[in-house]
This record gives sequence, structure tokens and C-alpha cells, in this order.
Amino acid sequence: MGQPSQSLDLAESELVDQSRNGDRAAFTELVDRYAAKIFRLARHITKNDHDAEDVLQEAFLKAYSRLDQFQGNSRFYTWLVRIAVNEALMKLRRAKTRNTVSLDQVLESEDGPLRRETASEEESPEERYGRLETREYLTQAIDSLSEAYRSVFVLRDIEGLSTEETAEMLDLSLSAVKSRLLRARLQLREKLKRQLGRNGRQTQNQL
Amino acid sequence: MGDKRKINCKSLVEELSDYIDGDLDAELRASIEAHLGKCPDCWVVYDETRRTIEISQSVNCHPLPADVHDRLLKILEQHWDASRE
Repeated sequence: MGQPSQSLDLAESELVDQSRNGDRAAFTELVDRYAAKIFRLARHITKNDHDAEDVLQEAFLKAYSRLDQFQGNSRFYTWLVRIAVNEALMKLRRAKTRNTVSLDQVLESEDGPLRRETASEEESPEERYGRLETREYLTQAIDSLSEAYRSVFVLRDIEGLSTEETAEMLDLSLSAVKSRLLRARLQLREKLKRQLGRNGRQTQNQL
Repeated sequence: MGDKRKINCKSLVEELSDYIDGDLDAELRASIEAHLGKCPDCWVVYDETRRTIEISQSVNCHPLPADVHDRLLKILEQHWDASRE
């Protein structure tokens, strides 16, 4: 048996230690583990693919260059999320002051989330359509939440962070997180009500 | 005996998130469940909210495009190569 060059089961802390010592493969393993989550989070907050990609790159570049500042008393993932959230919120605020949308951005976001995506083999065309439709109305509903509600909802319900972690990342009190989460959930439910009534259960069974 | 806090339709909505997350004490949870058992309107709000959360968790709205992943790795490699020079 050959020696495995990179164990998939390596603990996050070992990968961080190895990355600190300049092991590119170890940091690439961290990228492979978390890039999809960081991209999703960034896209939900910034609401466009181009900014989400910028945030993704900035977050990993900053994380790499600041590895010596990472204390190890929190998970690397939550530390990375904090960097990404800060980048995404800064992007959003800069975009607000610019207040213009480029044509590239519009074109890119029209088919952005769906490009280079492969359908699973067992999926029928109807199921694929149902899944894409669900994704589309859910994306629109989440995008339409205000930034204050959207950030909390994404961190708590989509990324699965705790109330405490969310409060710390967004610099909010626990009660503010809870209150915003409730409002976000109720607003989303209101926006998705028709879909839930029509095919909510069926959609969930497909997924 | 009896409920410390009387649950009505308005107060139920305020507790809904914590109820769904399992963050309530047993007594308040029981009061909410008693109300849900007899109020179809609140039950629908509860059920739709719960399903909204479930769908949001199960549908990945923004999968990472392969080209975005490739560009990220390329930028990191460029950064590593530049910092070695």
C-alpha cells in the first residue's frame, strides 16, 4: 500500500498548522472544504455573482496571509466566515454608494448560478425543472429581504451558525439576532406561501 | 397549575422562532402546543414557517461554479509564487 499524500480525514487544526508552515496542499484542502459555503454565503449577502467571487478570493487570500493571527480557540471555518462576512458587507455598502448596476453584472446574474451545472443522472426533466424553479423563487425571496434580516437569516438558517456566533459576527446583541431571525423567517414564509401551498411538500420530496 | 404565560395568536408568533429552534422551556412549549392544537390559523403559520426553513436549508441556491473554483486556486497559486520571489 502506498502512503496517502493527503488524508481526507485530517483535522482542520492540522491543516491550519501545515498551511502555516507553507504547505500549499494543506491550504488547498481547506479551500476545497469551504469554498462552496463561502461562495454561497457571499452570494446571498451581496446578491450578485461577481461580488461573491471577489469576496471568496479576498476571504481566502486574507485568511492565508493572516494565518499567524488565527488563535485556534475558535474553528478555522468560523474565523473564515467572519472574514468573508466583513468583506461581503463592505462590498454591499460600497455598491450602495455607487448605486449603479453594470450591464455585465445583469447579464452575469441572469444565468450565473446555473452555469456549468450538471444534472444528476437519476433526475427526470420534470424533477430538474422543479428543482431549478424552487431555487429561483427561493433566491428571489431571500434576495428581497433587507440586508439586516438577510444576513442574520443566511448565517443562522442557511449556514447553521449559532445565535451567539451570528451575534458576534454581525456585532449584534443576542436578542437582536433572535428578533431579526423571526422577522426574516416570517417575511420569507409570506413570500413563499403560495409555493408552499401549491407544491411545498412535493418540492421537498424531490430534493 | 396552569400556564405561567397565556398563549394567544399574537404571543405565539413572537415565540415561534424559539419554538421551532427548541429554545423554550417545557412549560412554554406545552402552552404553545396546546394553542396549536386548537387554532388552525396558527398551526398553518407554524407549519409554513417550519417548511420555509426546511426548504432554505435543503435547496442550495448558489452552488459554486467550477470556473469560480478554478480561478480561486489560480489566484492563490499566483499569490504563493509572487511571495516566494
